[in-house]
Parts: sequence; structure tokens; C-alpha cells
Amino acid sequence: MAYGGYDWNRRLGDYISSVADALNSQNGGQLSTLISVSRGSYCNVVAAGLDQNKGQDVNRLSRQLEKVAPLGEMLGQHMRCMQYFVNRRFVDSYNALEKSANAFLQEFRNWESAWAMKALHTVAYELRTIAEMADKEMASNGKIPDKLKGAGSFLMKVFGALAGKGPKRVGALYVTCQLFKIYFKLGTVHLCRSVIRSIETARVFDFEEFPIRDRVTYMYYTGRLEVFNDQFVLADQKLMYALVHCDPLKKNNIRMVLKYLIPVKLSLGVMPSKLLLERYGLLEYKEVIQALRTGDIRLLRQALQTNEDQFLRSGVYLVLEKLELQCYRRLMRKIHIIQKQKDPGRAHQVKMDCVLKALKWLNIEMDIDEVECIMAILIYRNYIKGYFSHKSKVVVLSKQDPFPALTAMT
Amino acid sequence: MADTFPASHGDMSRQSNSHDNNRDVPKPSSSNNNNNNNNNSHGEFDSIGRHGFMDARNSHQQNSSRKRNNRPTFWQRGPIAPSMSWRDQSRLAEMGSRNSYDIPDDVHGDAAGRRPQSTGTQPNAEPHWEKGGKWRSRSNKSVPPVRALAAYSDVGVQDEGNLVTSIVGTCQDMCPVCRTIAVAELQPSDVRPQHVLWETLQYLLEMTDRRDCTFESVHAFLFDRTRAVRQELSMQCIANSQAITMIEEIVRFHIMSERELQEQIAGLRNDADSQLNLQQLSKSLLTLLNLYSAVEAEASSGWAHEAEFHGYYVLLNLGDRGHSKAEPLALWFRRVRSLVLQAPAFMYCRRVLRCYRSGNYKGFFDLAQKASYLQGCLMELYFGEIRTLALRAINCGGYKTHPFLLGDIAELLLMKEDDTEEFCKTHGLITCLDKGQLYLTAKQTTFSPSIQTFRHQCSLISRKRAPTFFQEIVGVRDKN
Repeated sequence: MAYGGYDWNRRLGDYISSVADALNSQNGGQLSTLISVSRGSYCNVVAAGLDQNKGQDVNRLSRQLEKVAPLGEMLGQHMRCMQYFVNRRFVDSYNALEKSANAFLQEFRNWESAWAMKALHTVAYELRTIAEMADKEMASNGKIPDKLKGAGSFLMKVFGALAGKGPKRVGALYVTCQLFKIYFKLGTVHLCRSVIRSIETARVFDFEEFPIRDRVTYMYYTGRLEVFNDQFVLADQKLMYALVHCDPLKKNNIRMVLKYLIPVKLSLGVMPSKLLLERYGLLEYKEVIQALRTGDIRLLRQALQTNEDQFLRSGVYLVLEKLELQCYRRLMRKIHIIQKQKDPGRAHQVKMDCVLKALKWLNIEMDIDEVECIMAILIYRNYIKGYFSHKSKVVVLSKQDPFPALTAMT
Repeated sequence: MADTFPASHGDMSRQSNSHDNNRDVPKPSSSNNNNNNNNNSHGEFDSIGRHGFMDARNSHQQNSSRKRNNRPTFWQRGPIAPSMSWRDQSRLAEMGSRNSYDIPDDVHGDAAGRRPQSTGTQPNAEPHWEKGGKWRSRSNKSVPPVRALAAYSDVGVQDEGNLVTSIVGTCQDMCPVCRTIAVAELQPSDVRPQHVLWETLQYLLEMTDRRDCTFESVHAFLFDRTRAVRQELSMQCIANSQAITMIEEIVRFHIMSERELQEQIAGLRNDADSQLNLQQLSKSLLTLLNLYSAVEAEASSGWAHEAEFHGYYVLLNLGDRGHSKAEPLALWFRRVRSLVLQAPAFMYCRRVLRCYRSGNYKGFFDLAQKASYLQGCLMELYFGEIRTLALRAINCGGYKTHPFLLGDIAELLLMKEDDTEEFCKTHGLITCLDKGQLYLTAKQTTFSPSIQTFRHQCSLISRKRAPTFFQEIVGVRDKN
């Protein structure tokens, strides 16, 4: 064999010895680096080494490992996974990885301490990443992708292994976050519920004990879930937690939190400053905020349309659409102010015709019935205090506090 | 509903009486003259699995006690759609497919108790029943829920010899659709190829316009069979434009039948049936949406009806409740292609969504007036909710001394005035009469959400339907 071939063989052997060392010395960090696939540096070594030899060598090598450390089977599958990965056969790579992860999990359950937590996290990360790639491959071959779904089920098992009492539970939040990422990608967010319940209600978890990075990620995703359920106060709490505890240097992460926090804040009547938008590159919200400040419904609709793609991709479009009611409220407020200047005695009576005129001026086509409907909804939802008369087509605002603060509403 | 008794009823009873108890070889009772070819091709009855099974049933002691109601035997009644065996009565809900004949105990069932039919091969899966297959319909004297009715295809046979059988044509061969095949036992001959599925589907859909039986029974029949068509399409991993058209038509059928059933048996319909239909609707719709992205469209503008069906998805999930299993719309929108986003049909549905979420009931009903028939069918599912919201808002914000004219409310909410009055009553609101006109006073404290679900027929939507169901389902077809 040429010198090069021998070199790969030897390097492969070295790799296996390092793994054995890491296992024996219970060095989680080193093990984690060694088994990293998509972000790791050892893939090429392993792949090249295996490519040179026949497949049966994998078994020989893993048996070799078995003699010194218990994870022979796992390593065998893992090396195959690496080999497939380098050859861009992601579906096969994922399948091998799942077997490897299975073997690893079984051993992990037996270990008393949590020394291998970092390695387990690496495995979780790899499962998700490679599953995503495998799904893409399957879709391009015309099959219905299901690897990511499988990764989700497997990670639930991992979560189960970590969720008990004992030192291992600190690692559970990381796995939870991986699960969240998977469920959000698949759209099956209803599956998040059971995991959240375990974390938030079980007494074995003290939330503040988890590493801060995991906590921020967790709050970010649960905050987003609250947004989907239109629970803006809760969403505000969670996203604010994420924002406050996020590393100030990680601008990208802050931007991601803000992207969802801003619509939530707007729904609660809190406007971000222009400076904030500029600093974090969120200028798509600029016109929206301006429309809200002035009660300009036309501008709001325009702003939504211009940035439609962006808002739809990030999933905030529906929240922003709902801001239209707030815009109407603002418009009513302006009308009220103008009327007060003209005739303070009767300012609290707003003719619906007047609103109709204002809307027409904004190029918004509506009939009087729809205006009445909007007024009814504004009153019902507590944006406005007062009542309306169907017969005389008038909205009578309450003399005291006709426009209650938005933050007062849920 | 005795008035929907089929005209051919008389014929049926004559035929059934002519059957001979001692007959060994089963013969389809719809023995039309031109049906002779059926006898040979009923491979099923000749096949091994069936040898002597009826005999065993008759002679076996325990089986005789299992005969429900001591009804006439299989041969007297004629071939019926696969009825559930008595065992499965309790498992109605899971039995999406009525699939078992009364087969002897030694055929093992799968976990749900469903038993695979060991039918023979289908030499050619031509729909034999096209050739003069006779229709029977069910008498709805007792009005049990649709699903159960469909399953108990022999319900009512005990009614003094009145003929009640279920729908199926003569062709037993087509009953591959009726069985549950354990995947391991699947053979190529058990599954119909694409062109046969296409023919089958067209035939099935044409049945929707038949006047000699109730729509309810048609629906039940088609429910299973279209599901089988879908299953066989996916089993064979067929993904092409014809498959897309087929599933589009099936989705339209489900949407349409949801409303039509509601119209025809209003109030008597089981909620569970509605659930089942909607469940299949969303399943087929999801399959369809997946197909759109999986298969490359020939035209550069994409699939002709892609926007339409994406719109149906939005309308179906307007409520988008967090606890449901569906993906939140906010996440779903991410995956919609720009081409679809800008299409008028889809934009319309987005406007509906916007009105729904803001609670703009006037806008919602305005849009409902502009909806196409199928869009209207889906929107109608939310009418009750929006109307309740409207009443709430009016009650909350109205001026006490200026009562709201009920006629105006009715117009607003697309209801008749009497219905509106009833609607108010169920919500605990009282109306008052003044100078011959009804008014609703505001600020009533007795408002309570209605427990019943009211589905008042909206004639506005009915008017938009195409002249025949088939046309509505199939739409405008390109000649190809």
C-alpha cells in the first residue's frame, strides 16, 4: 500500500485510541469533539480511513475498541455515519447516526454521573442537523421526508432519560431546545406542550439552575408559542426574559428575539424607538409604527404589503394584521381631539359619517354598516369606552377615559 | 325519511325473494339481464378463501346465534356493502372502512379487529358495476347517525321485508376498496393501477347526482371508496398531474358534502360524522398540498388550482386553535410559495382570515357574499361563531334606549328574521315588539353563549352551486 494509505489507517487508529482515552478518562468535552459530525474535524479522517479499507474493518475496529471501552457498537455506527456524511449520503448517514445514538443512550443511562453530557448534546445536535439534510435529500428524490420526525421521537427518548432526578437533569433543557427547533421546523408545535409541561411543572427542575444559554433559547421558543396562541402578555414576559438574559454581544440573537418582541409590544401599545430599529436592522417595522402613531390605516396596510414576504417568513404577519384595530382606535382618538378643539361640549359624540369621511380620505372603501361594526368591536374589546347608536349612527364616547390604555387589556 | 325511498324499491324486493336459500354459489342479487358477465368475473366467490364459508356460517352452531336479527342470509339479501360484523359494533369510530363481511373466525384480524379479505386476484379491475349496477338505498326510517348507518348496511332489513340494503353495485370485485389489507399481505393484484383508479373515481363522483337515493347514503358510500382510492394512490407512490386532479376532486367532494349533509339532515346529524368528514377533508387536503410541492408543474404558472386549494386550507383553519393538531397558520404561511400568495383566490381567503381575526363580522359576511360555492361551504362552518360574536358586540356596545332593529341584524348576519329571533333566544337575549317590528335591546345581562350549534341554511351560498354536484366537483376541465 502506498504511504498515503498507511497514513489514513494509522490516523484512523489514532482516532479510535483517542475515543478510547476519552471514554476511559471520562472526558466529556473531548469525546464531544471527537464524535461531532457536521461541525467536527475528524470526519474526513474517519471517512478516508474507512474508504481505504473494506467495510469489515469497521467491525474489527469497533471490536478493538470494545476491549478497552464499552462503546464499540456505537463507534462503529458513528464512523459509518461520518463516512456517509462526507460522501453526502445524508439519509444513510442519519440512519447510522440513529443507531449510534441508540447505543450511546443505552450506555449513558447506566452511567451514574453526567460526565458525558456534552457528548450527548453533540449527538442531539447532530441528529437534528443531519436529519434536516436527510429530509431535503428525500424530498428531492420525491419521497415524503420523515427523518426529522424520527429525530424528534428519538430526542423525546433522550429527554426522558434526562428528566429524572439526579445530576443529569441539567442537560435536559438543551435537548428541549433541540426538540423545539425540530417541532418548529416541522410545524408540529403542539408536540412542544408535553415537554414544556415537564419542564415547568415538575418539581425536579429548578429553572434557574439550567445554563443561561439554554434558558434564553427556551424562553425564546416558548415566547413564540404564546404569540401563536395570541397570548401577548405571556409572550411579552418570556421574550423579555430572553432579551434581558441574552449575551449583549450576540447581536444576531438579540435581533431574533426583537423580531418577535416588537409585534408583541406593539400589540400591547408599546412602541420601540427608531434607534432600536436602526441598531438591530429591523427597519421593516418603521412604517408600521408610524401608521400606528398616526392612525393611518392606509399606511399600515401598505407597510404590511411591502414587507409581506419578510413578515410571512418570520411568522409575525398575522399579529401585525391584528394591529389594524389599534389603528382605528388611534384614528378615533384623533377625531376626538379635533372635535374637542372645535366644540368641547359635544366632542364626545362622533358621527359615524365622520369616520366614514376620514376613511374615504385615506382611500379606504367602507360602508356605514362596516364602520358601525368596527365601532362595536372596538367597544367590545375595550379599545374604546362608550356606546353606539344604530338608529342615529353615532358613537358616544365615555366622558371619562374614553381611550383606556392598551396595556390594561389582556 | 320515507319520502326518499327509491323508486326501484319494488324491483328489489322482487329480486330478493327470488333468491334461493340453498344456493351454493353466490350470485349478485342485482341480476339484471345484461349482467351475465358478472358471474364469471366474480373471482372472489370462486376463490379459495371463500370456499364453503357461507356453509360454515350456516351450519356452525355459534355462528347461527351470531346472526343478527336472524336476518335473511347473504344470498337472500344479495351482496351488500361490507357490513361490520357484530364484533365491530363497538368499534364504530375506528372503523373508517366498513370492510368485513361476516367471515368465519379462523381468519385473523389485525389489531383493530379488522379482517383482511382474502379476495382473489382481480384479473382486470374494470368496474363491473358500471354495467347496469343497480342502486339500492337505505330507508332512513330510524335515523341513526350517518356513519353507523352506512356501516350497518343491513339495518332495517327486519322491517317487514321492506327492502333496505346498502349501496353497492353488483361488482364485488371492486370491493378491494372495502377491505383492510395488512401491508405485509399486499399484492400487486390487490391494488388498482392509476388509470383504473381514475375511471373508478369518475364513476364514483357521478354518483353524487343520483336522485334515486339520499345524498347521505351516497356520501357514506363515497367516503370509504374515495379514501381507498387515495390510499391506493399513495401506496403506489403515484405523484403526477392526474393524481393531483383526483385528489383535488376528492377534496371538493368532502367540502361539498359537509354542507349538503348539513342541509339535508339538519339537526339530526351526528357531530361525530361531521368530525370524520372534516378529518378526511383535512387529510386529503394536506396530501394534496404536499403533492403540489413535490411534483413539478408543467406550466410555468404552476398548478391551475393550487391557489384555490391553499385558500381552502386557510378557510378550514380559520379558527387555528392552539390546541388543535394543525400547524399554526403563522408557521404554515412560511411555506407558501409567492406565486400562490399573490393569486386572487388566495388573497380572498387571506382577507377572510383578516376579518375573522379582527372580529369584523360585517366584513366577513360581505366577503361571504362574494365567495364561490365551495369557499362558502367552508366559511359557513364559522358562521355560528361570528354571529355569536356579533350579537355579543352589539349587546355590549349598543345604546340602551335605541334598540337595534332585528331586521337589520338579520341582514347583517345573512339570516332570516325568524332565524335571527331564534338565534337571539338561544343566547338568552329577548327581543321586543314595537309597532310590528322586532327590536333587540342592548345591554342585556342575560347573554350566554349558546350550547347548541345552529346551522341555518344560507340560501345565498346554495344559489352559487353549479347545476350538478359533479360539475361542482370536477369544475372546468381542460380537454386532454
